This record gives sequence, C-alpha cells and structure tokens, in this order.
Amino acid sequence: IRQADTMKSLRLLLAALAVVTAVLADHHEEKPESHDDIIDKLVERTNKITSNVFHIESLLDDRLDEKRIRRAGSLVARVEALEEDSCEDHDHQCGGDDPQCISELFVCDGHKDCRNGEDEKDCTLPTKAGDKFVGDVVYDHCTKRRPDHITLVVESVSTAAFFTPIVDLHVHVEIESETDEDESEVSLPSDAIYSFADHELTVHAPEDDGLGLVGNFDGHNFDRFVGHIVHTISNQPCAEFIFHRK
Amino acid sequence: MKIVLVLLALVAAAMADHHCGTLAGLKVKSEWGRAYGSGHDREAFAQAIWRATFAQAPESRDLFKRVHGEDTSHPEFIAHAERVLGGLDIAINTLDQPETLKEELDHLQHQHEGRKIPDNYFDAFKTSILHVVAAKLGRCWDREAWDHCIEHIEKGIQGH
Repeated sequence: IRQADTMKSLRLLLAALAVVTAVLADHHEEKPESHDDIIDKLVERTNKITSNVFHIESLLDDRLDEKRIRRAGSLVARVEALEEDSCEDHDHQCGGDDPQCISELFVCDGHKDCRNGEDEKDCTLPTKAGDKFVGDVVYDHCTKRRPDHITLVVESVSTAAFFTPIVDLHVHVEIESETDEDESEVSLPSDAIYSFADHELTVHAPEDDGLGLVGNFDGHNFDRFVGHIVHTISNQPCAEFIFHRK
Repeated sequence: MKIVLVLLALVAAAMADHHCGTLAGLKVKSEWGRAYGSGHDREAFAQAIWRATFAQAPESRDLFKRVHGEDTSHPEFIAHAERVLGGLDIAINTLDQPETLKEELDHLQHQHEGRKIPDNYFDAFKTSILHVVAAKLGRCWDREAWDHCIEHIEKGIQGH
C-alpha cells in the first residue's frame, strides 16, 4: 500500500511538473519569436508536407508501374492463348473493351484501322541490332546437334518505309554442342522477319535441312519468347527452346 | 575447256534466272493462290498493296481520282483494288498458258494505254506486291520467281 501511495504521489508530481513546463513553454511562446525561428518552422512544415506528397506519389506510381502492368499483361496474354481464337487466321484482335478483327496486314502500317486505334499503338520493334537471346532446350526431336542452348543474335534490322507491318532482320544462330568425341561451335547466318500483328519472329532455315525457328513473344514481355524449331515446309514444330534476353 | 563449260553453265543459270520460265510461273501461280485468299482477307490483301504503292509514289494517287484514290478505305476504291487483283489473278493463273496470257495482257494493255502511267509506278506496284506477299506467306515463297513473273506481266500491260 505504501508503495502504491508513493507511486501515486510521484505521478502527481510528474503531472504538476508537466503543467509547469507547459505554462513555462506557453509563457515562452508569448515572447516575440525571432524571425529565424519562424522561418525554421515553416521550412520544417514544408518539408513534412513535401515528404507526404512524395509518399502519395510513390504509392500512385506503384499502381501505374510499367513493369507491373507488363506482368499483368503477360498473364492476360497467357489466358487469351488458352482461349479459342476470337479472330480468323491472318486476322488480328484489336482487343480492349471493343473487340474487332482486322487484317494482320494493317497492324502498324501507319493507318488507324481499329476503332480503338490499338493497331498503331505498340509499333516499336522489340529487337534491335546487337540484341542477344539465349534459349534453353525444352524438348528436341530434330536438330542435328541436340544442343542444350541456342543463342540468337540480331545483326541488323531494316524496315521498308512504305510497308511497316513486317520488319526484316539479319540474325546469327549460334550453337555450341558437345559429343563424346569433340566440342563444336557454329554460327549460322540467316534472314528473319518480325511481324507486329502476332509478335512473331520467323527465322528462315539457315541450313539446307529446312529447319527454321519461330519465336513468339507474348506481346508484353519482350525479354522472353518461346521458340519452336519447325520444319519450314509443313510448319510442324519438332523442338522447343525458351529464350531470354541477355 | 572446263572453265568454258562452267562459264556456259553460269550464263545459262543467269539467263534462266532472269525470265519468268515455266517452273517459275507454276511456282508463282500456286503461291499466289495462297496469298490471294478469299473474302475479307482478299480485300485486305488488295488494300495493303495499294497503301504500299501510294506510300512509295504519292503522286500516283492522282491517276485514281475517279475511284476515290485519296481514301483507300472508300468503297469505290476497294472495288477498284479488287478489280485490279482480279485482272492480276487471270494473268498469274495463265502464266502456264502463254497464248491465253497474251490475250489477257493485250486486253489489259488496251485498258491502260492513254493513261500516261510512268514506269516507276509499275515498279512501285511490283515492289508492293513483293512485300505484301512476303508478309502474307511468311516462309515458303520464291522472291526471284515473283520478281520475274510480275515484271513479265507488267511489261505486257505497259506494251514495252
């Protein structure tokens, strides 16, 4: 009990002290402040508000973050790829809230064909000279060398000014392979085309075995594509590699 | 002797390469079948060719005032574009029947004479066809064969 009493009086004392300090502080405030003090306070408040604004801005940026939108876009693209095609072959879906099918030949030709203008929106080429993509094997039933990795190097890019839906590329397909006897390395030059309509990169067969490479970007993430080795004539895939930009 | 033979072979190859022979004609005919398509695919194919032509030679639009060349999406121009491809279709499909082809080319020449069409417009049109066909067919098509056979057809229409 004694102890409790002491505690009580101690608290009372503290409270009294606080009141006195407050009064003193008040008293102090009544004195005219120096100009510097006023300015300092203003600066301090401005800083606080600025920091709050920046905080809100960064929260907003998080929502508008391009990477986040791209990631979500890739997911949407994967779901859409699972769905049945909403347009016929050789057609492109304008998408958005206003579905419309237009010809692939009209995508990125400098002429707005979709009602929502989607066909002329994303027309910057995702691959430029010097770009390098390394592909890891998924399965392989047909290549001569059965490599674990294939590297695709973009040597040059050219677009005909009067017909822009298709871009011509010159590429090198680099393959390192190991057999029991030896290691070999080849760099096969070839021509390729990139089509904006389906984000598809088609590499013509670099050798006379008629095996070409068809790479499909998802249209949002241009650092990765799924590449199929196909028989040029039948268009049948016989090997798959997942490519990543280096 | 060997060198002469090799040279002769090269000359023969070069000559074969520079005209629209029977094989080249058959190739173009079959590839055209795939590229030409049907329905609204065909409409787009025709329009793409004309857009690319006008992009190369903007002044050539003036020749098409009567069919609304100022707007390639105008129904009258679309009709015109399809008519042109219709003529080209007959020509390409008769590449393996020289006499019939001659008749068709003479007919087309008659339709074009007096319109004062400069040669470079024909070049632009051929270039457009080659590019749009490449876009449409992707892999399997023989650029050389197309180049020579379209040239052959255009020469027939130009009359020189």
